[in-house]
Amino acid sequence: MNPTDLPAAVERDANFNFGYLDERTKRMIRRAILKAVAIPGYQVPFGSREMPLPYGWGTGGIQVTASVIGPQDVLKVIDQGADDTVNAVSIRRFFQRTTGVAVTERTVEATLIQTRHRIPETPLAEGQVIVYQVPVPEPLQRLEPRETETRRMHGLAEYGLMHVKLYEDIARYGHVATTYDYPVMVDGRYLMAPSPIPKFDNPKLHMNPALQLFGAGREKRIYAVPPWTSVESLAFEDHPFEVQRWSQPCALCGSTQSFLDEVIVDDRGGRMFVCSDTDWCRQRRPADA
Amino acid sequence: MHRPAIRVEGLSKTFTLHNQGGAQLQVLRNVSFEVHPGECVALDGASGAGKSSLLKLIHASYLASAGSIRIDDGSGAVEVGTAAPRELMRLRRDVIGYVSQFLRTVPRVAALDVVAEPLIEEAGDSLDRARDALQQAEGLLRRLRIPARLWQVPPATFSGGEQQRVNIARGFIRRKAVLLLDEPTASLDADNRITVTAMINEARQEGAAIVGIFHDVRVREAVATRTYDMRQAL
Amino acid sequence: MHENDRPILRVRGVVKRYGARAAVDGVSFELWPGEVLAVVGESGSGKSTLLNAVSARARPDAGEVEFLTRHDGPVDVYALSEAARRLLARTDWGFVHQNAAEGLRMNVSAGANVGERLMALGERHYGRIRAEAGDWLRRVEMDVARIDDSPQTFSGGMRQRLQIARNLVTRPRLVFMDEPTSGLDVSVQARLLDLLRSLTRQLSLAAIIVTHDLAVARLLAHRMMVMKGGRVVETGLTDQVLDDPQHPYTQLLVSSVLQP
Repeated sequence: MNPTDLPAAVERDANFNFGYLDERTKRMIRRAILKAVAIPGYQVPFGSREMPLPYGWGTGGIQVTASVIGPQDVLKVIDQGADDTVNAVSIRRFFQRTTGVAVTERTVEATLIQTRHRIPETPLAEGQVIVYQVPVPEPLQRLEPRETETRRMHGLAEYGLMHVKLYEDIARYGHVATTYDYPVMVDGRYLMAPSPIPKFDNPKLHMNPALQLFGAGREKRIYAVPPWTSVESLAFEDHPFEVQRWSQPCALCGSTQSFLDEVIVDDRGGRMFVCSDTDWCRQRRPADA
Repeated sequence: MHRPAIRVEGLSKTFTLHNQGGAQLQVLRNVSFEVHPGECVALDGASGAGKSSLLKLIHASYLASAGSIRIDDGSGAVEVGTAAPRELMRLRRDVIGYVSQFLRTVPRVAALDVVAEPLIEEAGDSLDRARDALQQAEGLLRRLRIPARLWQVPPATFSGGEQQRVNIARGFIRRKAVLLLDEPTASLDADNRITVTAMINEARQEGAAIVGIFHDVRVREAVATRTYDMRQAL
Repeated sequence: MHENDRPILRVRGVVKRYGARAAVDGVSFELWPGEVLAVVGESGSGKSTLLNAVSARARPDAGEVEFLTRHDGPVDVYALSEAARRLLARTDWGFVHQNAAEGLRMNVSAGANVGERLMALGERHYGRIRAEAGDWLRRVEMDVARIDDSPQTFSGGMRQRLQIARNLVTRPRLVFMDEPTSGLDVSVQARLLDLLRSLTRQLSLAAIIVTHDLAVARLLAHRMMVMKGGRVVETGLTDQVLDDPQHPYTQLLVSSVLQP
């Protein structure tokens, strides 16, 4: 079954249950999701299944998507903002084959978006669901390796330690050096790892009209940010939270509002900065570009 | 009219040496006396007669085996033998002064601070009172001829005489109703002996009740209003 | 000063068993504001177990530990919710470990070690946290230039002073210390003892110091409690216990050391 042999429009394979997972598993995961929605930012343990791809490839996000997807959904899958990278293409095909749903690269057309490491630049709308793939759900893990202790810290909302990390960054580098997976406080209660999105995307988490779901397959945790929930990036009063800025616009679409990737264009060190969100970039360019 | 500042009745002290087969060592038997404000009682007796032990009993460093020691704290008589540790700490802070022959030095505290400490502790957070305490400490050190260059030096390196004078200054910086003096002039030169004698007399005239051990006959004659013969005590 | 009229800590009938053996067997005492109590005894006497039981680190099998809070009067520390107990432990209490590495975060800087309690209490101004940390490093006689250094690079004495600063930054009223000076060189020990002595007095801290070293007790403590086999065999003013010990075991302890 070489994937390149499959046609571009993938037929649903009726040998699989809808969404690959069996219905009992989906119900179990949906219960975890409901609990996660009810307690914004709280990590709900769930019985993560073995999936037909390795951990680290989005098994958590896929299980969440598989549990919420319906026949009427329009699915978009991105990896680092792009719809056409191997991970995105594989996951999209996986769901086409196991559900037969319509797919799209347009953010505005999608009802369900699975993402690795980005939030689309196009603002999400009410009714949309975005599913994040999460490698490390515990924001305190590097600071406090004992899970018994981190769970207690969440339970008691003892989060001084997270600020210790930010303090260390400022003492050492003059600014907070964390640029990805920048810790946030959800609904003023739970400290949360937003998955390795750039901190550029953190403001989009806040009061987002879409339902945001997070799945960590290896660590067996699901958490959620319901629509219109406060999500605050940690900071100090005298070192407020700031996002990355670029000195130049996107070389393709001229956007000054989007997250840019540096692209090497030749063997002589030539480089340019282009939008990481390929759909956003395409929509902004002249139709024939 | 005056109540006695110190009232000792039927006081006995026996050390039981549990690790020497329970040997009993009696140092005092049935001691009774009173000291009124403005009196200075010199304890008289040979070495080993229990003079220092008696002072330590009054100071509550030793526990009495029998009898009673009562100290007037201004509002009533406190029974030293049954007072709670906290009560004894209060007595020592506010009522009883004890000057021994030896200064127990704290390694890195300057002489001036050693002397001022009893007042500083009382001063709490008040900077004015702390400054005032240091000034009083300077005055006492000057009076006792400790050169100013030594004031900021920890007394551990001082000579025996210098240490003793620091100890006296510390013992006299707060006015106490009861003063216990254990050989306060033992290693002092003539000038300082005269100064200390004067300080003891001033304290007594201000109303302190003093019990002391004074080996030096000249000092004893200069300060004591009467003597207590320790031979009655054993 | 009304709060000084009541004990800050009241311990009643504390028992802590390990299997059939009672490591602490019915200990009661009171500690008053500003008072320093030394608990002495040999290893295995139960003194460290007692310290853990009264500092809410190990629930006793029997007995009560009552702490006089700033605003809510006396509370049974084991009846508090875990959240309240932990809040108490990092605000109004301090705990100085024998091994500084247990009491410090060895992988973050000295400044962050001191600042952590402030951040845990919601201080969110980097400049103020740093200034306060610097101030406390000075108070424990450390070079402020080392504020960004890791405690890994510090000597034993410096680590211990850093641990003290980390504990005192929230101005606790009660500090527990477990052999705070043992394992240090003698000269370093003397300096640390001086520091502890002056800090306990300046801040009028109530403190419980567990030590096997009678000289430490003599220098720091107002009162002493001598433990043997999980029980208190003698208690009293420090100089009284050391100069006129009553119990055979205390006499043995005192006679076993040179001039405590």
